[in-house]
Amino acid sequence: MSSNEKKVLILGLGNLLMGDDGVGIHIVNELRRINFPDFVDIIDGGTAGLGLLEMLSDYQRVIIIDAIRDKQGSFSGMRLFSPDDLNEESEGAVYSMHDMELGSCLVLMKRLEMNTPPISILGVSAKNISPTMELSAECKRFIPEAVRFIKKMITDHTQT
Amino acid sequence: MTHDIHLHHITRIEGHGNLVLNIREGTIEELRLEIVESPRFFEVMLKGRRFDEAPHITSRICGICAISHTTASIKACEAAMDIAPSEETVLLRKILINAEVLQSHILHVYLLALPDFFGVGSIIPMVDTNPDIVRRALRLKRAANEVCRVLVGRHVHPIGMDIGGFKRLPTQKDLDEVRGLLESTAPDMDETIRFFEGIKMPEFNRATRYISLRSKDEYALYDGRLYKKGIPPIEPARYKELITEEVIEYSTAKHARSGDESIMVGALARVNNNYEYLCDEAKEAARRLGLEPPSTNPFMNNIAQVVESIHCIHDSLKLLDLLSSRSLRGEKSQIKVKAGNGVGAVEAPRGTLYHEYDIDEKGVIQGVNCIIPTAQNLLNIEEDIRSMVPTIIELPKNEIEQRLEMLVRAYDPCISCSTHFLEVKFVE
Repeated sequence: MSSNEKKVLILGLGNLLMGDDGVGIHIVNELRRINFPDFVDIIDGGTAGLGLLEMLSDYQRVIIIDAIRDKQGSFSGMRLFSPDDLNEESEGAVYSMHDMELGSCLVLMKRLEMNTPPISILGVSAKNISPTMELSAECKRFIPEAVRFIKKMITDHTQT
Repeated sequence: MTHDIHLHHITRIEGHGNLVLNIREGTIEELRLEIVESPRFFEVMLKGRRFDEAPHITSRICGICAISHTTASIKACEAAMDIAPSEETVLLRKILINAEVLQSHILHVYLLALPDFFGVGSIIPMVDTNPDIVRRALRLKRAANEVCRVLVGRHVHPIGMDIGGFKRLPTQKDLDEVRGLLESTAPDMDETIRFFEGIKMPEFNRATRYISLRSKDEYALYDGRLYKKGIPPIEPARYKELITEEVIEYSTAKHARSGDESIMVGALARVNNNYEYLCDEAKEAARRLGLEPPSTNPFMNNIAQVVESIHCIHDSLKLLDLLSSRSLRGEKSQIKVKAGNGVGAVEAPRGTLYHEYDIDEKGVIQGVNCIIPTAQNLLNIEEDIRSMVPTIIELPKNEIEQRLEMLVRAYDPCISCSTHFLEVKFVE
């Protein structure tokens, strides 16, 4: 497999001004300190909305990092799920803060028969969603683990 | 006739809110456009930070209007410190504002407003029934976003824009790429006009006060003086003489008014105030689409957005000609930190956006005021609903609900600027 065929996007989503909602951006900022292979792009997607559609179709593999909200104020930590789980998860324990935008993009891509790469979503539990640029202590402690997890995903991808 | 209606969760607007409407014997007893989530305290967030952090922080307020917030913030800082941007900087900023207006309007008229006219709940079913329309919308939006990417790195959070100039000036090759992107929109924009000729907006008229920037030289989006018909235009620094904000008990976002009157800002207000400055192609589109200024039909805001989209493309091509006729020098204005107060006003896609900063002698922000377009329109939306309900009260409830949602959507409200969620309710 050539590097081009492996083109991977690590995409952080969220709003840096809304506390833990921006945890995905904090994590991609940490990931930028790491020397990943050239075929890995790390993008701070912010609150890109439908702009995601343009971004995702250019890649062969996408890892999205986003805040998730737990049911009834519990705090579950970090979990990996696929877009197929997104709607199901919305009914249950967790859902992405930006699920509508991401979900709509994915549905549109599928219906329009656009190139839709395999997507994994790394959700990090949000404790405090309010106007602040600081992460809660609970959320912040997951950053090193998320970084290790993403590094391993990239290593595994490189070896496939 | 009695309706206690909570119109719950208006969809297809940028955010969530509640519209509470109680009607007894044909009379509105209660009408509230509620914003239920705590406001984003961006103003507080900026206090105590260095002035040059403000454009980057405020670019995060809204994913749709990132360039407008960044530009308003930059202009406020420049006004406070008497920094004059170069001509090429201003030309580039105007192209960026045009691109943002284009992408936002295309998103709204095609993907958010159009499903109403097809009787479907969202754009998704239209992918199967009208794939050409959806693909056209996405092509146009992508072209506008690409213009921003080429010039400042990306549309969401434009990292290349800076106080006094640009972090990296585009090359001639970049400008040629931007020209190609804009020229590529021609067939799709022609088809857009043809398509919207066949879309009939609901009939409803209520005259209100239209406020926008106004310039002697051009269709004002980047710069100008504040204009409301009947009074001489005033400098943006005096905006508080024209606009007052008040906290409404039932809403955590501030509502704005001008004197005792509700106001409308945005595409229709701009076309009404500045029609003579639209390019010929946009005027022709307005004629074909039945937009005759002054229009007092808020639903025509959708059409005004189509007209402005045409203008933004043609105006950008003219701006590119101007840029290409001079060599890009990359001159960045000198920044000498000093204490001062500055107001930056710009026409965001949804209307006039104000940032005002008080900066101390060390360059630290001590005071902030930010008025977003949607906050200026909220009171006017309520007044429109109050005026429209008696004209549709005999309709079945679901039709009343749909018409009211369409009315709110016509304003293209972006509640996410002022709050995280907005929902709309009909109470029963």
